[in-house]
Amino acid sequence: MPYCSQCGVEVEEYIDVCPLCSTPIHKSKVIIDKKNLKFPDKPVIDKKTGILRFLAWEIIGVALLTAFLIILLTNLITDLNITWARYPLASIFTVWLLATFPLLLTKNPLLIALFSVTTIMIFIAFIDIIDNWTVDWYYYIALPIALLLIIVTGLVIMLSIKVKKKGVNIAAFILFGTGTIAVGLDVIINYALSNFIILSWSLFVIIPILLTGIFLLYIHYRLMRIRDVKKWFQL
Amino acid sequence: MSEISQQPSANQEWYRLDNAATLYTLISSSKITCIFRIEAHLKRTININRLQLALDNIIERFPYYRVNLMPGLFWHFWNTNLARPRIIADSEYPCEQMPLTKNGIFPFRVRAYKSSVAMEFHHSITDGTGALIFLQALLAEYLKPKGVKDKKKNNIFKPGQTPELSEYEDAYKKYFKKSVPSPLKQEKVFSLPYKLCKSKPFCRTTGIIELDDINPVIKKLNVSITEFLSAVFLYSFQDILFNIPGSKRKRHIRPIRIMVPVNMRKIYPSATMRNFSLYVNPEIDPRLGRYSFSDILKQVYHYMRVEVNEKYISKQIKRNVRAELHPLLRVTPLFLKKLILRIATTILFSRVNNGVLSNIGRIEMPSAIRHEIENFQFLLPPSSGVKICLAIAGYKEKLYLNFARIYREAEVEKQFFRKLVKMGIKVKII
Repeated sequence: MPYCSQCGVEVEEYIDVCPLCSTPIHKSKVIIDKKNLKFPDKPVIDKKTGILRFLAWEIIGVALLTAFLIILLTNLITDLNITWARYPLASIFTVWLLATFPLLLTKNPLLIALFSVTTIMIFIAFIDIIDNWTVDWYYYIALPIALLLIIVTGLVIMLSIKVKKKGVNIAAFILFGTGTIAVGLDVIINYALSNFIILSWSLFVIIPILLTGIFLLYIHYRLMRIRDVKKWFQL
Repeated sequence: MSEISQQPSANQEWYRLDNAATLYTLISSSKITCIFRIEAHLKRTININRLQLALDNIIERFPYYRVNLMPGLFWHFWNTNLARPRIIADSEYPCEQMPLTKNGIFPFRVRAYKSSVAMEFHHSITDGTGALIFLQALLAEYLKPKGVKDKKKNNIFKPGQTPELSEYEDAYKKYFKKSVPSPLKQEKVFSLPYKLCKSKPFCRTTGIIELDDINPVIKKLNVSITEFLSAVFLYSFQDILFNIPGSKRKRHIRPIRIMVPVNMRKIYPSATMRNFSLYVNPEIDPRLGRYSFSDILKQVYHYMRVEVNEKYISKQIKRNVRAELHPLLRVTPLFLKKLILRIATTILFSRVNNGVLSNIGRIEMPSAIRHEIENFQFLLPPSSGVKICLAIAGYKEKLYLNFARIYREAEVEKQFFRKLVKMGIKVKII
């Protein structure tokens, strides 16, 4: 075992200078075995999880490719052209993209949500375009409804994560979200059909939803206040 | 006593912080992390899934650690945290600050890498004794042989046992005596003339000593290992002081003092698993002249016998608890308390100690799994207040000494280990 001639302490085989006084340690040349380092350079990653994710992506990919080829060949054999198969083929490709983002490319939930939303929007636009190669209903029906759903769902999720005490208040947030979507759908559909912004059926949805949601919030925060007052004001 | 009788108990959703917890949570920052670490190096590579399973099983036995620190208007409080503590990867820079008041954060971390498992505890939740019992229980659960029961009775906590009420006890308040006087204020100590290391949080040096080498020496001197190593520690600081040229030394010469934690459970009957340790401060005053090693050893030996007893320690309990019970401080909002205490800590506690020496003692494991563990190591990170720490743990036939410093130079360790080598005690640095 090598030792420091100044301090008299023994040191590890791979040490070049004494950790106490920096005196060079005389010894035969030893290659540093990185396997023996005390700490990792990077956090330990569970490699098994990575392998499993890749396997899941591969199985989904092969299954979708099989369905893709069956549909494509059936359409080609019967019509000698790609006609009705455009819709299921676009759907299968979209499903494959939606599976690829979380399984292979990123674990960041925000990025996954962003990729998924963009893919779905492109898919809907594509479906609108491929029947007669013009944009018909995408801009005034599909796009506003999709944006409404995304924004409201995002807000409900964010609010549910942010609140410190979770309970029936989450149910209230979901109810409020559902109510907003109902009102939005009503407005978008009526505007698309008659070019007027009017509320019809959504009024019967939003009133009971609002009242129930307020009642749930009252129950949640009233009970929480009774429970918290003692620890919050402890002297 | 009515105001201090609110003891925490099982099945409580929240409970008050004990005296040490109050102090540690208020002063805790990125520079004073208040975290300590006990690590076990096993002979075989850790299976993370099995270790996680062992942690899931054992955490039920320690409900008092299953908490999250929450801020109140006047004080913090521990809130029961039913989340699942997760094993995290170890790092080259251990004992980093814990975001204690963040939702769902436990006041401890279990870290693993290759064949080592490390427990990092915030000092507000427990001391070395509690942390060691937790790590022993975790290792016993992880390493328990399949289908074989260790028939020998041991003190290892096991899943399924019901925690005793006494384990929740706030022992400081239990043994607080109003009539006892507070200890005297301490003089400032000699400041080491070294620059601080800025490239990393702290530097660590580990030395290993064979018990067969140190035991004959301490037997001959008739002192304990802690007393002997405390004397060597003080001697190292004195050597550094007297290595400073005469004219410059005049500016530096001041008392040399170290902090040695005392496990109060050995003095007061308490089974608490929360914090119950205080410090004694052996010191020498080089203004009276240079001490020989035997002078320092004598000083430490007699100091320990005088100070480490119920009467003297009760003065420290009085000082600490009295401040917490002061009506004006109690009605001060938490954010103001934090501010006041941080300023007070910087003014009052900077340069009152040269270092900390903490000996967790010889660690025993059940015979069935003893051979699976290579060693245990204990680590105390230094802070802006105490710039060098020496943490000692014994396992099987060896003693593991971990120095952690924020000084750039390893001068204290150098003097310390050289002194041991000179006394015939072989040291291996890893």
